[in-house]
This record gives sequence, structure tokens and C-alpha cells, in this order.
Amino acid sequence: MFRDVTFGQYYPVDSFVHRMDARAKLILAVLYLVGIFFINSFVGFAWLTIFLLTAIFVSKVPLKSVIKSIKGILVLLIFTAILNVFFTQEGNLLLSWWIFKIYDEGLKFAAKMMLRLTYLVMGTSLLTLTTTAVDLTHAIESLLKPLSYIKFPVHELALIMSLTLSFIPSLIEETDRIIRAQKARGADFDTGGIGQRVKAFVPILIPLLVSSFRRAEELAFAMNSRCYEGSTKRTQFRVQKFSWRDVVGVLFQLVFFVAIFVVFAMQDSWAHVSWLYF
Amino acid sequence: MSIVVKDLNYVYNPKSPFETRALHNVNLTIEDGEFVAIVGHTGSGKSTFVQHLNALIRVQSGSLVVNGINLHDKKCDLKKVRSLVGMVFQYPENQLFADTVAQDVEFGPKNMGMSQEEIDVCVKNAVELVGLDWETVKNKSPFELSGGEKRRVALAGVLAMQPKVLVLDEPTAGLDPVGKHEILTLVKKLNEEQGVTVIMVSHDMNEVYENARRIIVMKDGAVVYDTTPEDLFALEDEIVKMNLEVPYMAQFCNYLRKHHVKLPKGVRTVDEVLKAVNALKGGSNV
Amino acid sequence: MDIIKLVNATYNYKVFNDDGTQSFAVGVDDVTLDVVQGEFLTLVGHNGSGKSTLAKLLNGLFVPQKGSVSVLGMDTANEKNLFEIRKNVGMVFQNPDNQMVASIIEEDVAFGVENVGIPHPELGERVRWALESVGMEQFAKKTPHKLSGGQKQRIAIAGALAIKPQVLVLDESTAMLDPQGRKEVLSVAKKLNEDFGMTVVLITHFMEEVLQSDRVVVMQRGKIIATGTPSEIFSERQLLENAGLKVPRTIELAQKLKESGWQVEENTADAKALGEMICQLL
Repeated sequence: MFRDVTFGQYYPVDSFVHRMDARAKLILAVLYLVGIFFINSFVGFAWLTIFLLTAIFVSKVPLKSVIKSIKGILVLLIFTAILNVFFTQEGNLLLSWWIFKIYDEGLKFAAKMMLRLTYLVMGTSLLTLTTTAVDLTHAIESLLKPLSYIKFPVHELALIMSLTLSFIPSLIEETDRIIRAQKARGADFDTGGIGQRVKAFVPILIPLLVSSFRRAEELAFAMNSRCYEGSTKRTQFRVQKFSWRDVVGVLFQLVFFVAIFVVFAMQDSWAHVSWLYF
Repeated sequence: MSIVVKDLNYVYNPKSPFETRALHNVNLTIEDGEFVAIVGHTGSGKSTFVQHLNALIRVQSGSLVVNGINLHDKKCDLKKVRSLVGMVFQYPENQLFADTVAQDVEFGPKNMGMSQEEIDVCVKNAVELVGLDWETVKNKSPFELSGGEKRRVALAGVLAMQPKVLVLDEPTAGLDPVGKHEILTLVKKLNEEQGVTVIMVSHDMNEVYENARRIIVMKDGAVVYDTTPEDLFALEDEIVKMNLEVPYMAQFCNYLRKHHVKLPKGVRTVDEVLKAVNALKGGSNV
Repeated sequence: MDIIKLVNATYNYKVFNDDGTQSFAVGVDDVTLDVVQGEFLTLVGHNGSGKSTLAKLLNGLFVPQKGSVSVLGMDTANEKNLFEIRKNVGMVFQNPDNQMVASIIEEDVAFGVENVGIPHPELGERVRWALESVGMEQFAKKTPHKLSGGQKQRIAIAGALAIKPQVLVLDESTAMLDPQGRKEVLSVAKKLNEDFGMTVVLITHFMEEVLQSDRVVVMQRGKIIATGTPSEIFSERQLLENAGLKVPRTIELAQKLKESGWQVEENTADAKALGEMICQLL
């Protein structure tokens, strides 16, 4: 049943992170992503782990839900790991078999790459788990606002995003309905070759297109009837405000950044402590 | 040959936070040639139930046998089940897709693997059965037709598979009175003249009252009433309590009966009620 | 006072035939009609009778090809008037899913108010007032897609209402709803008409919905074929049937009983009241 699944992966609880301003969260997430690429040592990853676990703990989102988000990139993870293990030819040779040669640098590099990707995905999904798609849309509109001075259609862009979001649930339902209706007429989407399977989707795509056009037309009528004339005279219902939570959030991340940079700057002087640097 | 349902249960998204029980110990038998209406509120489980009948939803627990085919069996012949039990969804015109009416109607029969000669006969018969002129519409695009005609083409698309059981979900939704009448007349004809078993889901109690011979009321996934229209709507207070409408003619007859006026059984349409009331004239002082 | 005036308004649809030629399909054909301030006007007709096309002429979504439509003296053919016209004529459509612009209810209701440029705090007050007027205030922060059809239409009405129009047009807004949802929408419309004196134009093919209106207009093939009070219209049973409509069952029974010589009030819509009349005559 599609309709029971809420769109996006928002996890509905009330927490410190949930209550933060979406704009603050969005900025923090971007900084976090940048930060990840400065991390080059396992000490750095240890810091990152502490930061991420704290953030997850404060957000009241179960760790399981955050870890689940890695599932989607599992194939990518394994693929990059294999590539790195077999194609890095630096450091000490650990194993040699047929044409495969495994070096210790390769193992390290692969491990770091996997960690980086994992933390990247976990961090961004923490953002989407604690922020609704609607809030994110508003945050993007607000953050991009300066661009409207150079005639970039920020408002229109945000409206398109918002309309898309509000239409996704009914579009999913509609697709589900059409699939069931065609199945009831004996349509088979699961067997046959590629060509046959693609052909089998025509009876779904055409009705979906037809209904989307009708939807678009009715939506245009509805928007016109409600005096929509572009962004010129519009006011805004939603008021976004930064609060003390956002300040705390920023401070918290600042501490984390300082730590990363310290580790980054000092990695050479720690290099002799092999268990730290590997 | 019939539909036999025993202890049917169904849970959506089992073992997850979204777990919802949709069917709760449903037991019933529908014989060949019946005209059954299923009523109940959104979320009462009626839609989940009817989708079991052609295996769009597979049996989780309990048993369901349609014309001798056990639908609990994972390997049962789906194509056979789906040609046996035709299903017309709400607003079926939204599933039309082909370039011409003929191509759209033959979609089902083609999927069923009929021979081309068989298909040609079935398609033509089905289009004529729903009251459209074959020569006029066969090469027309279904999207050029009027709303009522589109709905009939969609219906023909199901009838062309020659189902023995026809499940209709709100077949008259969105139609005007004349369009409604046409569809209901057609469904009645299929039931009476061709012996097709009809299972109709509807919100319109007047429609149900006048057409069905048996009404199944569902609430919270369970069957709460399974009886004739007359007996069901005689329970006016219970029906109102369930937030369902009492048909106008039932309200009228219930009032008279409560005031000791003797009316014959089975008067449901306006004209039947009129006749029954006029028959009272003889014995009164009017 | 007339709020909306249609004078010989005609609107046809272009049809592109298979052989490349063009022809016209009748939408609205030479219609003259006044919508009076404060009235509850119901427009009935079979599917394709032009009633929905007529609705779209009322706020300039369509502009008549012949004749004219004016709202509060402003011609809909003049594009400069459209903003003012739409501020005064709110419209709700058939499919509740196709009119939502935001995925949070209060933001959807706010859309129109934002468009006419109302600043805070009035903006927030209007949204709250509109939601209260349709009895949906407890859903302000929720998403609409889990609501019933009737509730979604009440949200759509709130969205139109928040702009504070003088006229509310319900363009087949009950057609896709179940009986419960239809009742909800109708009672909201009736309340707006009675409590706020809002002019309501209801477009429908459910004849039961005609009962509560002040005036009924019957359309067939793009033309107005009858105008009158509900009881005047219902007494034209044959005319309605020819136009693809049907009088409600109870009224039909009352009329037929009267024709058979029973002294009952024709146009009785309440089945129990009719039963009572018969009981008294027996």
C-alpha cells in the first residue's frame, strides 16, 4: 500500500533538532558535507562519529532509521571499496594472487572512502528525517532570495517545488489505481523480455499522462481563481525565525569543525603514533 | 460454483508502525447469479475485500475459493481468475489508453490469450452490450467520447473478457441521473439475462435499495449485516447510527408500517410504492 | 442588486476533427442571467449541458465569444479587471485533489490571501477565520492528502473564502463526494449564505441539492430552459426528465400520489412527512 507511506522520510517526533530553523539546518548540513572532505585520518572519523551520534541522540530519531538510509547506497559503497582495494598500488604489498595485488594503503583508502560516503548519507538523511519537505522548500526559497535581485525566479522555483510536493501523494495513488485496474484486465508487468516489459507500461503511462494534463489544467484554473499573478504583490504567510536553538546548533558544529581542523593540521606530527594514524 | 470466503483476515504493513487491520474474520458465500451490494464507510474494508476476489490482493490468512479455484494457493492461475472475476474500478474511464475504442476493449481479451477470431467477436459484443454503436465508435479515439460514453467503453473493456462475476466499485460516481440510470439498467440486464453475478460497492443507498437483492454492510473490516434490502433498512436507527443513509422509499414505508399500515413486501421503487399505496385506497375512506 | 450580469453570453469549444477540419462544440449558447446579491442560486443540468462552462464565465476564466459578462460592473473581457473580479468571485472546483497548491493546510488556505497582498497580522487572522468558518481549524497544520473528500473540499472553500469574495461559485464541487461529504459541503455553503450574506452559485446535477436554494436555473445543451423556485422547477417533472434530470424520489412519489387523487402536499421532500400525510388520510 503506497498511500500509507508518508512522502519523504520525515520522522515525526518533537526534538531540539526538529525545532531548529530549517535554514540553519540546511546551512549546517552543507558545512558538514564540506567538513567530511577535510577528514583524512581515523582520529578525524572518531570525532565525526561523536558529532553524528550526539546529533542523532539529540534528534530523538532512532539510530536504526538513520543507518537504514545507507541501504540505498550499499551497492555503490561495495563498488567503490572494491575499486580502491584493487587499484591502489601504494604502500606495502599484503597479498598477491593471480593478477590481484592488495596493498595496505589500498585497504586504508577503501575504508576511508566507505566511511566518508556512509557519513555523508547519514548526515543528509538526518536533515531530511528531522525537516519536512515543505520546510526545506521554504528554507531554500529564503536562502536563495538574494538571487532574485539578479532576476533569478526564486519564488517561481519554490512554488514549483511546493506544487510538486503537494501533488506527489495523489500522483502515487493514481498510479497505484491504474496499475491495479490494468492488472484486473490481465496486464502482466513481471514476465517477458525487456521489450515486452517496456510495452507493458504503455497502458499505465498514457492514462497517467492524460490525468496529469487534466490536473495541470484544473490547477491552473484554481490558481487563477485565487488571484495568482506571479510574485509581484504577494505577501508571505510563513514567518521564519532563528531561535536560540539555532545558535546552539551552530556553536556545536563550530566545536566539531575546530576539532577537525586541529586533527587535519596536526596529522603529520601524529604520524609516528601508528595506531592513531594507521 | 460460487464464491466461498472463510475466516478471511488482512493486515496492511504487518509488523511495522503503519500496521492496520483491514479485514477481520470475514465469512460469507456468494452464489452464482446473485446481485450483492457491499456498503460501508471509507476504511470499512470493502475495497480490500473486493480486491481479494480477483487476487489483486492475495490471501494472508483464511481461505477464499472462487469457482473452485483456491486463491490461497500461490500458484493459482491468475489469468483465469481475472477473466472469471471482472473488476470495474471507480472512474474506470481513467484507465483508457489505446488509440481506438476497439484496441482498448481488446486489451483484456488479448492478455487472456484468446484467439484473434474470439477476440473480435467478444470485443464487438461487449461494445454493443454497453449500448454503443460498433461501427460508429470502433475506430474513434476513446478520449473523444463524452464522459458517460467513456465509462461505457471502460466497462466494455472488462465485459469483453466474459467474466462470470462482475465487481463494480461505485459504477455511477460522477454521472448525471440519466447516465446513472443507463449504467444500472445495463448491470441489471447482465445479471438477469446473462446470469452474471454482480457485486457492487456503492455509497448511494437509494441505488443499492432498488437494485441489489442482498446487502452486505461492512464496518472496521468486519461484516456487520448480511441481509435483504428490506430487512436491512427496516433497522432505521441502526443504519443512522452507522452514519449511512436510509433510502427515501424505505423511510416512507417504514413510517407507514410503524403506524400499522400493511404494505406488501419488496416494494422499493417509487412506482412500486405508489402502486402499493394506491391499493390501500379500496379499504379506506378516501 | 445584480452582482453578476450575463448578457447573451456565448462560449463554444473548438474541436479538431480527424480529417484536419475544425468545428465547434456548444458550451454556453446565448445565455442571459443575473446573479442577485445575497441569493443562493443553483444551476442544474446533465453532464455536458454547459453548466460548468457557464461557471468559468463568471470570474473570467473563460471570456464569452459573443455577448458579455460583467461582475460588479466590470467587464470580464477587459484583462485589467480580472484581478478585482477574482477577488470578488471565489471558485471551488470538482476534484479536491487538483486544487491544492501546498501540502500544509493553512499554507494552502493562505495562498489566495498572499496573492492579493494582505500583510501580517491580518493574513494569519484571515486564514484562521476561514478555517473556522468551514469547521476545519483543528487541521491547520496537517497535510490534506489523508482527509476525506468532503474535508478537502471544505479546505478549498476556506481558500476561496479567505480572500473575502462577495460571491462563492461551487463548480460541481460535490460531484465526486460521497453522501456524507456532499452534506458537509452543502451545509457550509448554506451557512456562508445565511450568516455572512454571501452570494452562492451552486452547480450540480444532484437534484436533492436544489432544495435549499432560493432560485434554480436549469440548463440543457448550453441554454437556460427554466428558471424558478425549487418547487416551481420540481413541478416540471417532464421537462426535467427531458433535460436528463430527475426530481428527488420522495417528491416524485408525492407528485404521483397527488395525481392518483391523494390529498398530499406535492413537492414534499421529507419521506416521513409524506408518510404522515398518507397515514392521516387513511
